[in-house]
Amino acid sequence: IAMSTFTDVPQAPPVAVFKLTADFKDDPHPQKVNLGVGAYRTDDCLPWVLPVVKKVERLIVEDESLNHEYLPILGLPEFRSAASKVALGDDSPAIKDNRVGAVQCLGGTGALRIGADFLQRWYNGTNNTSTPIYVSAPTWENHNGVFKDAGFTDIRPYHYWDGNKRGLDLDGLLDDLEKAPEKSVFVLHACAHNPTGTDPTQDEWKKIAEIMMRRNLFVFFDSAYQGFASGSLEKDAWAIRYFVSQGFELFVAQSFSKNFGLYNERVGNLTVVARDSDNLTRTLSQMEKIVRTTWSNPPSQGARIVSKTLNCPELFAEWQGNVKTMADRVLLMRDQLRAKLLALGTPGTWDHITAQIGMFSFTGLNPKQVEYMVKERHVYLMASGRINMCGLTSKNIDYVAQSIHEAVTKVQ
Amino acid sequence: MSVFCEVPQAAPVAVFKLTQDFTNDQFPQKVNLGVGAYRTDEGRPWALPVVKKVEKLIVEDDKLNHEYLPILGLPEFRSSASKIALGDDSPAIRDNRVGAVQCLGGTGALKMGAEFLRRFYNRHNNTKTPVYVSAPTWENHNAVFANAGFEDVRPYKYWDAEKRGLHLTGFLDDLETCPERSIFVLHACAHNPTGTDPTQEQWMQVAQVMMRRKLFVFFDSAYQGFASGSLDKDAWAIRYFVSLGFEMFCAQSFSKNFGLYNERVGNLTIVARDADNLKRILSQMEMIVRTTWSNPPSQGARIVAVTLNSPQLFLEWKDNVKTMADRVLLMRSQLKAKLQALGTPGTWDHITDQIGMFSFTGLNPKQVEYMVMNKHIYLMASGRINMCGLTSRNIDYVAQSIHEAVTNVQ
Repeated sequence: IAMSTFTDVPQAPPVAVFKLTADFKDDPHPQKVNLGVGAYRTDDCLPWVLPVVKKVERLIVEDESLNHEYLPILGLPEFRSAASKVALGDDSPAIKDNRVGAVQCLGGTGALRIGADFLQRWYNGTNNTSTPIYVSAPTWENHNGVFKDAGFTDIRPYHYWDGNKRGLDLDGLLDDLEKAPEKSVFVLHACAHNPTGTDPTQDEWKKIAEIMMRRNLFVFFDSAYQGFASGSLEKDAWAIRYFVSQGFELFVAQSFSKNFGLYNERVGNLTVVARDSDNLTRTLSQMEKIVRTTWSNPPSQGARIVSKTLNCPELFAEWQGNVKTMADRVLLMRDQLRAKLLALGTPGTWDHITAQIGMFSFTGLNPKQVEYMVKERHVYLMASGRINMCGLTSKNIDYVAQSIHEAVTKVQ
Repeated sequence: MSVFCEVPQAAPVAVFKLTQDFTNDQFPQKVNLGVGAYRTDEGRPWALPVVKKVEKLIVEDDKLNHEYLPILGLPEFRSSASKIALGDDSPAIRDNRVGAVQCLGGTGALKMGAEFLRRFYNRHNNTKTPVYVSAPTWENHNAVFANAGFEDVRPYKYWDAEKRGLHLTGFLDDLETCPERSIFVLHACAHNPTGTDPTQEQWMQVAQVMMRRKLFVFFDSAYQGFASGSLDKDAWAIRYFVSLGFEMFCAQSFSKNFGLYNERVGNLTIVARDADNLKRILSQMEMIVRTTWSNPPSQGARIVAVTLNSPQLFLEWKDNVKTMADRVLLMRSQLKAKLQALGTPGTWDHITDQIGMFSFTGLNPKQVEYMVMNKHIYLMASGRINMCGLTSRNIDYVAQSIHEAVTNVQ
């Protein structure tokens, strides 16, 4: 029998965070806890379909005027504009100047990918695969892959997390900005940095912006947690809006997976801020070409849910309430986890748990301690020490705190 | 200066530009025979009754949530979609050597397949493997493969404009003379844009050469059920190739046969020699999906999965599909009859010989221009018309217009 055409195809390694969840699922231990993948959980440790989403889904299914005709290549217009407004602000001068456009994409990943594909073709020359792309050290594990598959050959880390002081390595970051080749692309986390939960302060952002402007570096924001981080949409968009106010042309890859709980409908938006509408028009026309050969035109359901919600004052207010519910529960768990570790007298400082923001916390546990947590205590977290605060509940927080205490005291 | 100052304006996608021009046209009798979407006899989009029913079921199902799907998609969608293409009783499925990737419509399935082939087919990262697409073909085929990195996308002879049919000898000749291991994109049925499919005997000849010359089979299946009204009939070529032992890809779209255009429901079915090869392929597909869209959208796939996996809903769906296919067949029949009644020069058998949504009328660019500019009937420059754009209300006007174009314009 003839050999397979695919005989030389190697087995690819599994994506770490999904492997973790798969192992968690297979674990029969009654007290197991999943602090891995980044999705919101209620205090009963269940997924939460936002009440406003359920409401809007019913409205959609009952709306006889809707059909399933192809969306435009760039997506549902009312979604794109509403989504950009959420990031830049209703009163954004850039929007008023008609120099803001958007591409509806498949979640944050899709937005990053289309942005990356565009930059590889049209930024810093044409088809320049050598433009350095800087991603934070550490960063979301998929950033590297997305830019690589878009064709970039030089993806580098910029200093970000200071493991010793458990905070932002500002000096290192600023130094990388000063030394990066001009026109380098920097992927910045708009808020709730993944995986560290550590964001620059406003003053730190200002320093970053100053250098980036002076050195002609390209700003590519990744905004996956707007509203989810602090509970306030405005607060979580401060950095983006500041950069826009400084006159930057920039991309923002927005995800509505977390703040709408619409993970599996793949709702994302690539907001494009250009110098003027002429440049915007040409940019969007090229985005269309890239979209056409990737997914042709985007899926409707999720974008329609978001669009209806954002464009109706009553639903918008309801949504903000739902987002605050999620953000508040995370803040409560942060508070309680820290309190319990202090009460246990766990060695080390634990302020970072409440100082960090968003879904994730970089506990500071080392790989051996993480292994202890997983193998001995059946508490699943990433090898980096990253935990998803949403995995904590009033029912498991004592067990988790106790487990961290043991890991820190028993394992070095 | 803007960092985008050198970015050139891209040309619009022709078929969407056509629809845009149509939309802007004020002429009361205008007709849109451009973009490929089904229309009722009232000239309107049609939400399939079974789809509306299932959408209600979904919104009322409290067990469902919006958690991420697996990277490769909804399992019950993938398996039922592959079964649709290969048949419930497919030996390849029984042999555990069929897998699938839920993708964003047919485009997404082609894209994932192309990206995989560029990385792993015919040695690694071989961007020079020739990719053959039919002359003519869907306008996006070329770009999908080119953007996946293939440097050598070539046409294979397909449409014989003289005889208005399949250019079989040219096709077979291209198969015989192309480099071994070349990739061929084959339209499973209802060829876009010509509506001309090989007969079973002709498919057998194509398969024989492809097997002997080790050519890679990549089916594009966007119209299963929609073409003849029968799912099995429209999948004959795919199943025949599988039965001969080919390893192959099949990019399936559920845009047309479910009318779910904007929910982007597609499936890349993979037939490998055995389960081990399949496993390794799927693991690499996951890596490609992860950096493109991470994991696919749920709504459309769930509608299709619920439908395909429920015997009652499945029957209802087949019926809805037949409704669409039958209306198209009726329009074909009537258009041909009217042209013959008008005594329009030329033969018009091809209108009823051709199958699926599209017909290659044979109108030349000047005649097409006349149709658009003078008669406000919008069709592609190639002479391709979407039969779904015809209705009992406009068919006389269209027939008359074609008559005028053919007689007045050369």
